[in-house]
Amino acid sequence: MVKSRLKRYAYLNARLRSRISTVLTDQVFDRMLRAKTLSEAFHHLTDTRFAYLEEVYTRTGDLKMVELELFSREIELLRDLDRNAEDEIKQILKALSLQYEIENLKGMLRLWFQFRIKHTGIRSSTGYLYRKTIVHDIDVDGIVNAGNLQDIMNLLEHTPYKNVIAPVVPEHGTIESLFPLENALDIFFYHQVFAGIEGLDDTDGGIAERLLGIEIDIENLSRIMRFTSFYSMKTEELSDILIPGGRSFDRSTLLDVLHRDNPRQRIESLLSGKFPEWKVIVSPDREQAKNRLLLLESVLQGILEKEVHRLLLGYPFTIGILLAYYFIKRKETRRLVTLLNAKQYGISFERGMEAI
Amino acid sequence: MIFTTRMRFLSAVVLDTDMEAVTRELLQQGVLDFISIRELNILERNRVETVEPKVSEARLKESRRRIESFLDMVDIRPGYEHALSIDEFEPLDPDAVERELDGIGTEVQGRRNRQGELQQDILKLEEIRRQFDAYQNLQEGLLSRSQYSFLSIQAGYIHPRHVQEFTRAIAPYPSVYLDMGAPDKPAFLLISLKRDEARIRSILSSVGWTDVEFPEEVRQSKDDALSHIDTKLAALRENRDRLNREVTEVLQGRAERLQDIWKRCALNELYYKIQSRFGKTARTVLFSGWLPASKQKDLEKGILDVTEGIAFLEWKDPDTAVRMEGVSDVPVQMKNPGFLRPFQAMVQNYAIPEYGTIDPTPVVAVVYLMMFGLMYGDAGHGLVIMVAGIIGWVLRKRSKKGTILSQLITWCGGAAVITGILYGSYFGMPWFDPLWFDFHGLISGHPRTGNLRDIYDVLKITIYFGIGVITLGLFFNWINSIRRKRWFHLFFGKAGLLGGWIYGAGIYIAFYFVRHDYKGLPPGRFIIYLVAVPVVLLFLKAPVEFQLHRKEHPEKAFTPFTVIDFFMEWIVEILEIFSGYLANTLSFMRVAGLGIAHASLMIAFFSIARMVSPGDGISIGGIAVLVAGNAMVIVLEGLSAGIQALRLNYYEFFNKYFTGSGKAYAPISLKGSLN
Repeated sequence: MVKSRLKRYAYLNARLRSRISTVLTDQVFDRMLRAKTLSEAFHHLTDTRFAYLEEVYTRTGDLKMVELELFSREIELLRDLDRNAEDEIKQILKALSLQYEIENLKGMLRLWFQFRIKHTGIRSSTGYLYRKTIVHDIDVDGIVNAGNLQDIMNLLEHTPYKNVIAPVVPEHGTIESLFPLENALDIFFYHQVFAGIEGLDDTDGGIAERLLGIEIDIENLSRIMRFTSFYSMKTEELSDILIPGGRSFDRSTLLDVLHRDNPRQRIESLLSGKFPEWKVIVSPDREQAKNRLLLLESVLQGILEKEVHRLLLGYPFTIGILLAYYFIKRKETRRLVTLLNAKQYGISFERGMEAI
Repeated sequence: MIFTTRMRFLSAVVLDTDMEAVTRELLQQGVLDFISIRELNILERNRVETVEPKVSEARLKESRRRIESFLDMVDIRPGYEHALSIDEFEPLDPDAVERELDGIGTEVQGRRNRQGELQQDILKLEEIRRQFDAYQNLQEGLLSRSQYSFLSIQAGYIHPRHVQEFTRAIAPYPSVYLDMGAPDKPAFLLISLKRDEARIRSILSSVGWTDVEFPEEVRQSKDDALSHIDTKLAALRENRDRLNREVTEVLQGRAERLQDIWKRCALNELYYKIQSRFGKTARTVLFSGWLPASKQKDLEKGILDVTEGIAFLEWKDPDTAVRMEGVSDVPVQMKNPGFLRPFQAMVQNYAIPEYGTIDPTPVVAVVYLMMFGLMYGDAGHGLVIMVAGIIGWVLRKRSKKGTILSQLITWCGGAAVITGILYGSYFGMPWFDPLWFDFHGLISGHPRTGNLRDIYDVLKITIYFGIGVITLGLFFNWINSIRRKRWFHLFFGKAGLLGGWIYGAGIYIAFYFVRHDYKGLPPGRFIIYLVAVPVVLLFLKAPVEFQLHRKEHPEKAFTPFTVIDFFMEWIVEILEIFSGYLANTLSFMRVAGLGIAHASLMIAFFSIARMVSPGDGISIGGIAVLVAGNAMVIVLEGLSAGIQALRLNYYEFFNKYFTGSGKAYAPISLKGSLN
């Protein structure tokens, strides 16, 4: 057992730990945020693993090209890991790769939607879409230029996505928002990750389920916040947008927190059973958070980070290293992209800091 | 060199009218590691205020770093060493500097933004090219009416007076138009994306577009259109790249000016950094700090000169300063010759030694190189890495980058050359007789010469070597303990006198046992003196420690359980000492292990080379195997030997005596590096 674990995870562990050790520090983010222009912000990446991004920027002057490069490098890494992984791990890697493919597909659908449904014209080019195959062959130009949703489904005939979006496409074939499609794709992604986990043994499966469960809880909270705050969605409509598989909270629990005047007591009872360490994470000032669910989300983010940290310090030969890397990397990429966009649009240091 | 530099503590009071002159002198001499006046007891006693510099150090640092960033974009690094002179100091207007830098930043960013716009045009055009290229010919594109056709291709006439309007209106859309008519009757082939068709139609109708049929030969080809797109793309790319070159030109053009501002910023930053450490009263300025004792006279003279003798300077030795001024750490200066810099960096990478203790740099240099040489003994391989180190050293020095690693590689190469000559190994070949013993012959079972006959002899040498290193570590620990007056630690510490006694006894007994064919131990009374006495004395450690603690914590009560604690601690301590020293000593066998691996790999590559060579000699294929094998051994074994030697130093040698709780001596100086 130990031997097989070593064999399975030794390369993965070495490769990912070396990458985790080069994750951008807060000091680099701080310096980048303090930079007066985007060019100067990029230059702070010179001595980091992201030096190639500065090269792309100085060559093109186009932030979106930089984002595309970042996107493609991440896919390359998953491919590289896949080449050296055993079958059980390949399933997980494939599922994680789907996230990139789904993000790219969403990008195509958004361009199509702007052009066909909103008739606003496509200002941003399809050149920012990733064109190589990630998991399935997808005709990028075909989807962006498709006449209608039926054409899109035909183009997705040989991918699982046709069956994913078919149930949410109305019979008359027209839609007012892309949200149902995107939501269906997100749910499909998590479903695939859980399917990938099924092939793992109990130890790995337990670790993966725990982490993904917290991740889904955070995503669900974020959705409730967005759709109740910005789209005035009614409570009864929320159940359709929640992703199944959360670790701690079902729909009614989340909605209960949403309607409480003082959520601390409820959050305390929710968390203390499953995450005894939560009290360490919640500092008193967090209680002052404007949004009630924001408090819960920040607690869960803290718990996720703590879990990831624990995994990195623990026994190294488990699926934990891959998932830890996945979460760390995703956070790093989001922070970096947010920061660069903040610089592009001249956002102040304080607001930028808040955003990352 | 053997001990950290002796330091002195200065407390100074000068008249506030002399503040600027004193600041200049302190910066000029650059020897004082300041203690902020806030950290001293004096603040509460005398209500001394801190001096607020005219310009914030942080603001100057920000501007300096910004300049460094601009210069780094064009591979220019402002000199940190010997480039600053106090004579060039003049107060700086930070607003003006920031405005100037903002101007440069805007110029650079403006070009980047334009590059970005051009990049978007390139992407749009590439999209059209990609889709147009999918057609067999222009005719297919013209006739295509399928909903899967992404392009809209049309041909038509425009009145000459509408041409300008047409080109302007069409510009925002991804499109290509080829002028195929005459000047008095312009005719265009227009290729655009079908998704923009509705808008483009409206533009065409507003400029009086009239559809026309093109001749057959035009319709059968798409080359003209593709070539037109390619020309347009090439022009866009050239414009984009030109802007990038312009950025470089802008920065190179300003480099001299930027270096000048950098110098002024750096000088001002250091100047105000010193003043931010000052305290003041109504008429006087106070400052304090550490400096090497050897610099005391020069600084005293300098301050008295610029203040015309009106200054109060109080000098204290470290113990008095710590006791009276309440400062916590005495900074540590490790002063070694320049050629030992890589080894000093190795020590500092572990930690800064505590003030007053041994600076092990020279010893580390010898021990590290001996370990590396023993593991990597091949004169040919050593020569290769030595040359690589020298090349790296020269190249990095030219580009004003750190050379420490290159220096270390050079040293390691030199050590390997020497041991290679001692082993008689040159790229794994016995070109000359060994001066010490034939390592390769020993591994293959046929040593040419020397007293050593098998691998056990090599292992024995490394054990002796390990014992020597550990003993040296113990000796250093005793010296450190005596210098720091840590008598308890000297006597009872694991690496103290008792530990050393037990270690020495262990070695004697082990060698006695081996010499008597693993059958006999020393006589009983010897065992008692050698082992039983120190072990029994060790039992006193916990009670003595308890008694010493009790002086500081009288509340700590003595109970029956305390005795059990004493006993348990004693047992654990004995086990730790015995197992620890045994493991430490055996750990040095890795030196032999790595050496054996080095020789074995070379033997293996020679065997492979002979296997791939048909006759008695070595064929070209065989030579290729040997070259690749040597390259692999040079890199991999070099890395392994380097890391293992470092590990042995850090874990088996340093942990015997090294107290890495020191703080590096960091004076504010014109020659120091700015962060």
